[in-house]
Order: sequence, then structure tokens, then C-alpha cells
Amino acid sequence: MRKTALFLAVLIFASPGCAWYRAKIGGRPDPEKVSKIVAGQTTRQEVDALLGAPDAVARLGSGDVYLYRYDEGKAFLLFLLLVNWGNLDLKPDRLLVAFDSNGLVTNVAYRSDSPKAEFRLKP
Amino acid sequence: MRKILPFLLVLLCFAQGCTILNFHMGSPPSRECALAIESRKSTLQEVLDVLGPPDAFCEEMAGEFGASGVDFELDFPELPGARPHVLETPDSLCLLWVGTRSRSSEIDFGRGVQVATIALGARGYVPLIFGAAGERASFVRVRLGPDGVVDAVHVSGVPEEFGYNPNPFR
Repeated sequence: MRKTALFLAVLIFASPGCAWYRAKIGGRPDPEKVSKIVAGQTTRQEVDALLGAPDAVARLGSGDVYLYRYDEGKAFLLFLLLVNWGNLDLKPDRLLVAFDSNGLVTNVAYRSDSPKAEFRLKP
Repeated sequence: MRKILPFLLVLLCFAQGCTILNFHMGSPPSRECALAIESRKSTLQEVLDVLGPPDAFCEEMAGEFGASGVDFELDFPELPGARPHVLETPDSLCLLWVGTRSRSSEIDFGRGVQVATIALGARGYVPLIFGAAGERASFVRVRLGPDGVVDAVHVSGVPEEFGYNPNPFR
């Protein structure tokens, strides 16, 4: 208890402040809409209507591949008397949709790591 | 102790501060999973099952992504609604998974120290800030041929082994 009180006292007097930041880069693909994309059934037009334009397109001889990206970052900064300390945690959501030459979805892959981004004090 | 006290006093009076920042960007791809991908055998679906969707197409990355995995920069994605990157890659599809860990540290001596140093006769450049930064990246690069089968796999770097400590005085 004594140690904690001492630590808190030092923190209060020595720390002019702290800051939290949150950054969102891109538009997050809606998981509900993503679940409607089915390989062998969904068409390119349907994907366009569901999610809009992708962030990147690779044009292959056998068909196009869409890549959707979203990043979420959380930063915590501590300003002490002489030392400033900060951590930024940036986590991605990614969606890949591949089409055949007829515009039918052949592959779908989705991962959502952005909820795992956290305000952290430790590096 | 006597020697340290004046130093601390000077530091307290003049130093603006020391700043240490840590950056964790992306989800590092699993090296073990990547090693399960076999050239000439695995298909796109198998790659996606193992690693999930990639972070980028290789061609989007600035610079050449050599086998060392050192010479590259992370390209931030565009904002929604922006015009997508369209890459003409008729013969092969190259996918990239990237995770980086970086740290920067700097010591700002403040204007006071700079002025005092000059007043004491220092010549030339008197630094206001000493800083250092380092970055480690891990990446997996998978190239698929026109037949949709993996052509080549490159795996590099393990952020978990991230053990360096940038020191502005070294």
C-alpha cells in the first residue's frame, strides 16, 4: 500500500499529463456484408454493391483480385517530468476477394484484427 | 553521488525531456504457418486458409522487396472512396503479409543547454536533440503462377525476436 501510494504521488507530481489517441484508416468492411460473399455464387457486381470499391485491384489473366483494407490504431502517451513514453498499436482488417474471368467469386478471405488494438503502457 | 547530483540538477533545469516511442504495426504473419506453404503444390485457397488475406499486393510496396526484407517501406492504405490501385499483373499474383515493430528514442537537451554550450565556447553544430530509431519487419511473400499454384514463398524476420534497444548515444 505504501509503495502504491508513493508511486501514485510520484506519478501525480511528476507527470504533467497523458494522452490517448485513436486512429482509423480506411473504411472497415462490414463483417455482416462480408459473410454474404460466397465463392461460386456471388458475382463481382454484387461485391461492388455490398462493399464499394476496393483499395487495390490486381488484374490477372484469369480474373481480378480485390483487396480491402482497414487499420485501427490506439496510442497511449505518458508525459513525465523528464521522460515521455508512448506506445502505438496498429492492427489491420483485411479482405481479399478473387474472381474468375466471368466475374464470379472464386476465393474469399477475411480477417479482422482491428478490435485487438489496445492502449498499452508496456512496449 | 556528489558527482551525479550536479548532473541531475543540470538535466532537470535544462533538459526538455527524453522521449521513447514504441510502434506495433500490423499482425505479424506466423513463420511456422508460412513454412507449411509448398511451392508447386499449394493453391491460392490453401495459402489464404493458412495465412488469411494479405496486407498488400507486392507491387504496391515502395522499393524492391528483396530476400533480406530490409529495403521497403510500409505503404498506408488509401482512404475509402479513393481511387483504388489497379495493378496489371497478367502472369502472376504476388501477395504480401507484413508486421513491423519499431522503436524510437530521443533526448531533447533544450534551448538552455544549447545556448549555454555555445556561451562556453563550443564551436560548430551544437545538437538540440539526439535521437535514434530502429525498425524490424517480418514478412511473408507468396507468388502464384498463372496456373494459380504457388511459385515461390519468401519468409523473413521474426518480430518476436525484436531485441534491440536504440541508444541515442551509440
